[in-house]
Amino acid sequence: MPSHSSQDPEENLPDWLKDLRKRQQQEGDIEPRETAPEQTPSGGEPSPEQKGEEEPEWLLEIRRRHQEEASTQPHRTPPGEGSEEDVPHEEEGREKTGPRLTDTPPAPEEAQEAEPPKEEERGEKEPTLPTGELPDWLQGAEPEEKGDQESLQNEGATSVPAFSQNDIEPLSPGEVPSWLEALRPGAETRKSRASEEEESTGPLAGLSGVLPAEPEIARFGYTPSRPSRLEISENQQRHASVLERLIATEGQSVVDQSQVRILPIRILRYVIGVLLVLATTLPLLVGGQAAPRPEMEAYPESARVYNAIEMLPADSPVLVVFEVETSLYGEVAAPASAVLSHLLQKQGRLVFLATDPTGPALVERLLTAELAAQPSVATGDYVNLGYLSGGIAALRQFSADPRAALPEIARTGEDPWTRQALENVDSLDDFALVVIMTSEAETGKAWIEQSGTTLSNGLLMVSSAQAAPVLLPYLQSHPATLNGLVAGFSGASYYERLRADVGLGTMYWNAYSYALGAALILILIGGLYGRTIQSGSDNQTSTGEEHSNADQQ
Amino acid sequence: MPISNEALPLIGTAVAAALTLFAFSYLLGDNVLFRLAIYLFIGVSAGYAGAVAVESIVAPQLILPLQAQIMGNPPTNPLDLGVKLALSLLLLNKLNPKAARFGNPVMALVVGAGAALAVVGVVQGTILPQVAAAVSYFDVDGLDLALQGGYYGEAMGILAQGIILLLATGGSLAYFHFGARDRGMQAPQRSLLVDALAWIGRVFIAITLAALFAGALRAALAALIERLAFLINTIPLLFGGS
Repeated sequence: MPSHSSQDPEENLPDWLKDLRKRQQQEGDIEPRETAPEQTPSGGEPSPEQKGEEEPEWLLEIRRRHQEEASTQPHRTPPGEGSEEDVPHEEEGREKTGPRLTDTPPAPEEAQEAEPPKEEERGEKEPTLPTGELPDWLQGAEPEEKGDQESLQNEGATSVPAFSQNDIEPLSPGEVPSWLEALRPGAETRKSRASEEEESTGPLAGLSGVLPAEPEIARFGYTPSRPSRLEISENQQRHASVLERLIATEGQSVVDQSQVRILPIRILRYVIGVLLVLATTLPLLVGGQAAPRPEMEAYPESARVYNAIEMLPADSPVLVVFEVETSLYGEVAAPASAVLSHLLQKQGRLVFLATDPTGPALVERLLTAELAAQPSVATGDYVNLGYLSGGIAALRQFSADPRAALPEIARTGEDPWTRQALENVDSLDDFALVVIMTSEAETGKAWIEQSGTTLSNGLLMVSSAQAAPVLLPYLQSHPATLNGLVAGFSGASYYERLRADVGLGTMYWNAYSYALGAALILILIGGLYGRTIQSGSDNQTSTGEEHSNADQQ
Repeated sequence: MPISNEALPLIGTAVAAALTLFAFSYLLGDNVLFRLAIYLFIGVSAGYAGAVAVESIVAPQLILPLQAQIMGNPPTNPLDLGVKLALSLLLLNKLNPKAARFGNPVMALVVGAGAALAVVGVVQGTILPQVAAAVSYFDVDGLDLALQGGYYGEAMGILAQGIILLLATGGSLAYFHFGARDRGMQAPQRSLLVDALAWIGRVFIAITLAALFAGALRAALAALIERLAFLINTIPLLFGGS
């Protein structure tokens, strides 16, 4: 063991190196290093040196100095220095060097793939430190390695191998791929040097290694086709695979699970239909007034209609616009007949109009089916202006100038404005009352927006129950555009109660009440049942998730 | 065999009853009878509307004046007739895909005029009056009077009315506000205040939709009752004769 200074240099060495030294000391011999055969930088390509190209002088100088120093004394190369200078230049007679003391031991595969010539070059190129500058531990370690390195010195070796040659498998020449070869520093230089040609144009024709007379950009030719390789990351590959699976499953039919539930749903539909029909039919068959009628203060908007008609002078022209769809005629007929009956009772001169093609026919049907007993209807003392076409524009025109909008009754050809009911009517405001009977909220809104603001008395409306929620806010608008509303069977029953009359509203009120009650009960039961099923499925889902989490844990 | 005048209404009633039963057969599922009733309804409605349009509009306003013009009886307003004729002929080009573009000016006139009237009507008839009605709920004078008179219950009612209306209006508008601040990589998110108002607005919107649904349900039940009443009155008449 060499003499150590106060700072034992051996303590600074890594543990693996200490173990190795001990082993070597025990074995007591270091095999001479083998000379590395001549290798080419890549598979089969001759090196530039083999081609006879000249190495730079600085490299030659370094090699020469290195050989001289190696012949005199062993030297240590600073760690990390050799890995950066990876010049692929090779010389004849380059010797293979083993792993250096200062280098970290490479993996066996890496050791085989690593190019010994590179390590040789590192060993040859790296300058050695002057002896005076060597650290103590390195100076102290020199004597004991002298004996081990004799054979290495004889071979021109420059370092003590960290591993016994018996432990090192001879490295086979590795094949450097072309893309790696291209990444080597100096590869472009080597390539450019390899591709140098003699200049063929200009005053320097015949010389090589000169700047081209013609710039590259001036040289025409076919542009080299560069292979376009799409480089994608793993994440992108994953996304692409997911998309591919989605597209592949696009055409595959999925088993419709809802088909399994057809029978229960059909049975449920039958049960609900039968219940509603029974709840509706039985009261109609039995008759009577078992269900309580609406209270006197239930519908103040209907009371306003009643009051407005009650104050109607006799023989006053009343415009009734019939905007009822055929499908909802049955519902609107009840409140419409109640209001028309009241108007006829007050001896109002009714003038009917419709902006729907089926309106005039439905008006006639209502009058003949429900109000045939009224004298005015029986004698035909009313005016049916017919169909007013043109939509909103027609409403606007009729509100401004009714005579111009409907110069005649089309189906009869007569001039209605000569009739007694329309003698003094020149504008919409000349009518004592304007009553809109509609089944759709949009139609009612159109009349309110186009003509409601121009009327001094406002509009009265008879509507279906589905339009009432949309029309109710207009009762409170400022200025008033809608003065009263009678909606659905509820409004009809209430209106008939105000008039102490019995009509369609009263006849249907029992059935209506019981049908509403049955519908309400079915909705509640169905909602509770659906909520129970949903909560049960939620519990199953959460239980399944808990089990899966527990399994994962 | 000629059909008497008294039998015609009876036949019509019988057909109506049969079609009503066909429509009710949908309870058992989609079937041929229901489809027959629907197709008849659509066809008759379209045919009747077309007949009314021709009888009430086309004939008296276009064909008859044109006929009178040809016969040497010029109408009182020939310019009016000319404009109607020209626009009608241009609109007829819509039947031919190749010449459909010639009908575009007429369609533009119809759509443009309708849109303009609709906008004016909405502003004058709905927006302004409804806004005024909403403002009237904030009866500051009434609240002041109620407090001065010691009617604290009335005052609380007026105050609650205003607060509820304000929350309902603001919340409903906030519900349809979808603007959010960009937060870089994170998903855009509305402000907490807008979110809170939107949650309140959702409640009122749900109540409104429920009211609309209830109205539709009531209308449907009313139609069912009317049809069942018709069948109850008609079937004995058809079979019993009284």
